[in-house]
Amino acid sequence: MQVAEKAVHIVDDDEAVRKALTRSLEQRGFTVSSYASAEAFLASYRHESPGCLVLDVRMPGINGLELQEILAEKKIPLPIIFITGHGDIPMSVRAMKGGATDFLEKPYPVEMLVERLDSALEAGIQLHESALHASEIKGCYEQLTPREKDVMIRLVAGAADTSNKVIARELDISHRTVDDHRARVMAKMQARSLAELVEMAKVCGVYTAEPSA
Amino acid sequence: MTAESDQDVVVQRWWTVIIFLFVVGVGIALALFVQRATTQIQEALAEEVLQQQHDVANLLHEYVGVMLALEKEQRQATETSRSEVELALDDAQLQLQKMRFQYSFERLDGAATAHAHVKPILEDVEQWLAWGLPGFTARDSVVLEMASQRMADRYGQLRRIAFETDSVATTLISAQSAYLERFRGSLISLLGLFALLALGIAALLIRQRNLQARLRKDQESYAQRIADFADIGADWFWEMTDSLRLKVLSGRALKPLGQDKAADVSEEANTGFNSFGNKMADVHWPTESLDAREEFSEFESDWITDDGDRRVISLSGRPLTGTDGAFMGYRGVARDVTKRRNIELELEAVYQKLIKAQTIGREQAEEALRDSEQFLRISLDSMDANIAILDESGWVKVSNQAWKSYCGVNARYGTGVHYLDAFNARPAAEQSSFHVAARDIDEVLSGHRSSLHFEFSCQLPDQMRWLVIHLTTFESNALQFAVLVYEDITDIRKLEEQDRKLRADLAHVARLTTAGEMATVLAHELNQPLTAISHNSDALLSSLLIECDLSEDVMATVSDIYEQSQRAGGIIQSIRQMVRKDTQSTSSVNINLLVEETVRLTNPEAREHNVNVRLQLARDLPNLRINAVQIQQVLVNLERNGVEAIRHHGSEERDLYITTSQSDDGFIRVTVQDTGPGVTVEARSDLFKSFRTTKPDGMGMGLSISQSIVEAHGGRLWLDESPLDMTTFHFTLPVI
Repeated sequence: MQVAEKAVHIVDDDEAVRKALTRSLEQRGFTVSSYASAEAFLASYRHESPGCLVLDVRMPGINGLELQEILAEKKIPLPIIFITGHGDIPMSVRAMKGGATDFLEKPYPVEMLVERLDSALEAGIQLHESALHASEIKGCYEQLTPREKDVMIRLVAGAADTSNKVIARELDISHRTVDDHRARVMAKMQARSLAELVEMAKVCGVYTAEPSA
Repeated sequence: MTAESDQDVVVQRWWTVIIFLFVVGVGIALALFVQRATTQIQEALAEEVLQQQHDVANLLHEYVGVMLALEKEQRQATETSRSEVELALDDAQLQLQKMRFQYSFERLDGAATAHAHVKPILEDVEQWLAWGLPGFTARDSVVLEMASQRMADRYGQLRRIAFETDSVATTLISAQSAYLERFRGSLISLLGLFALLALGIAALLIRQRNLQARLRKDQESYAQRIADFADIGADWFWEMTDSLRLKVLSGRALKPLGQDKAADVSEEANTGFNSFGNKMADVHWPTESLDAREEFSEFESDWITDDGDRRVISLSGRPLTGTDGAFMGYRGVARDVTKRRNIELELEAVYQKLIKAQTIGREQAEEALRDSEQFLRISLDSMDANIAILDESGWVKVSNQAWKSYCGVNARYGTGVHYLDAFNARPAAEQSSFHVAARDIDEVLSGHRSSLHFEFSCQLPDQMRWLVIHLTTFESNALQFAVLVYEDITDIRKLEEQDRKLRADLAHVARLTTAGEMATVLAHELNQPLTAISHNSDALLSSLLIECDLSEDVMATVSDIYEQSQRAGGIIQSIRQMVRKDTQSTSSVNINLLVEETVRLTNPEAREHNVNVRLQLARDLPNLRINAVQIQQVLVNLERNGVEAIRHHGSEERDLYITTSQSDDGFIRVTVQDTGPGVTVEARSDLFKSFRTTKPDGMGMGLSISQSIVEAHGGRLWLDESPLDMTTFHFTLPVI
């Protein structure tokens, strides 16, 4: 369990660096897996467990920044620490905007990297958990009938002042039926309160900030 | 026959002769009267005929001839008749005289009887005369009557003589009675004579009448002929009275009045007289000639018709004088010469045009000559340089406007001045500088040198100025001249200075950029091993801590290795930061202006290798937020590469194209294309790597530096791989 939690993935085209990194991090108790290119990483990485990524910026083929974009697109919750031999400000800004945890210029003090790795792994665990939680919630949401989904969307959209009557009128059904649907939605989503349901709706991407007309 | 009777017969014969003579005398007297009357009539007629002939003759010579012939004929006829009458009268006179002698001296008593016989005959004659001859005028009758009266008077005298001799005669009557019968016979012959006389007169009169009729007929015929001639002829015939009133006009002249009928000239002219006379009065007549009664010919006069047509009439006229020399008017011809005049006018116009054309042609030629001089002058004047043409002594022959205003001389004194004196108005510093060149200038003027190019600077009160003297000689009409061009090149010098400075700046930046790039490359190359070293030493330290039994020295050594690797990284980083600082400032730049400036800076190099740099710049490109010097460095690198490629390739086409354009995705693209050999496929992969070069003296940094500069600006630099025979580089820069 401990091993899985301190999983560090290294992507760097320089073999000497890769080896040295692996050695020193393993000595410091990290579980290290290294890749010579972004393509190699994408081919073998499975994101069942939490971890973090140490990424070189300039590489042949897919470079570090491009890999960052790919991961973001795939919604893979992996904190990234960039290490670069010739980083400049625009590059670091772009990396940070893309959601990088950190940006280190080579050579850096090893303690600094370890420190950042620790916090990144913590964030990685949280990301992983929230991702897990989100997939759970999404699983619950998928179990709702279409009518129940309608009722849920309207419940979270209208917030506190949305009465069953309004929903009944909008959906052209009786308010008692709405009551029934509501109870079933709460039960299926395992929500203890309406506020919790709103949070779940956000995760599912069905929450709209503006109340519907 | 007896002697007595013979004597009687002799006496009788003698008396007969006397009487016959008497009768003849009377007859002659009568005949003289008749002849005189006839002659008068004939003369009156002849006069009339002459008058008419005179009129006609003036119109037509033929007519005159005919009239003269007629007159001659008439005179002949008159002469003939007169001689006939005279003959008859002579006869009668002889008879009468014979009778009278017989009567008076032989038979006085018989005289009364004779008278009684004669009287009725005379009375008959008188009566006959009193009746008047047909065709004779009253005057003629009077004349005849007077003649007969006189004859009667004579008869009265004769009777008185007869009565006086009656008494004598009575005594003789008896004696004479024997001769009475013969006397009777004589009387009968007298009567016959008178009858003959009467017949002669009648014949004469008939002949006279026939002549008159023939004359009239001829007159009419000739009048008609004249009318025809006048009518057919194109000319108009006119006459004027002595008071200068227009009288006769021919038919054709009436046509403009709308009277087409051309009948009798005189009649028509009379009817058309007023209207046409008035019209013709509008015509301007040669009044001076008219007043002086002089002949005039071909006097041309304008005449505006009622229709508004302008006609030109040519008038010729001759004054008419009577036989007494008195002025009777004018007769003449008028001719419509409008056509001829129009043609003349046209000819005149054409002639004038010709003259004008010739004049214009000449003027143009003159103008062209003037223009060529002017052209030369304007050409000279339009030049900014001060130009003067000097003769071999240095006197200014021609100078342009710039020279005049530069030397402060007005237009008039621009020439005829010595070139050294022309600079009197210039500041002393410039004058003295100029005089330094004077010796060389004199050498050129004297023909020892062919040209001179002399540049010098002088410190004027306000600023430093650069000046150049350029002198070349030429020969014209065996005379030696020199063109002196004196120019202020301070601005050019300043520009050159500016360019030099820019180039130095660029070179400086290029050095800095190269250093930066080298630092970057070095940093990257060194950072990797340094990172590896620091991690390896860290790993070693960690494992040493676990092993525990190693000495402190080993620990310290490994720690030092780690520390020093960190230090090396720090040094590299600080160098990079130092270099980066210099090249990071950006400003708003128009890429086209930047390209133009860059080309200007590098043009000498391109020219040196005979390469044409061609710009194709898109219009209205937005400004870019870039480091101008760095991008200029990229442009210089690409352009130099192109020029080098063309230079070593030696192709015929030696063009380098620099194109700017806007791409759709918010970038501006700059393309540099050369007609060099292109990039081989093998060379392409290593193209942008540092320290890779095909040039013998190259460092292999240019493209790599350029790429990093463009990428640092957020753009891209790449080789267009499609054309194999050309090298095409593109780089983009984002529009921010």
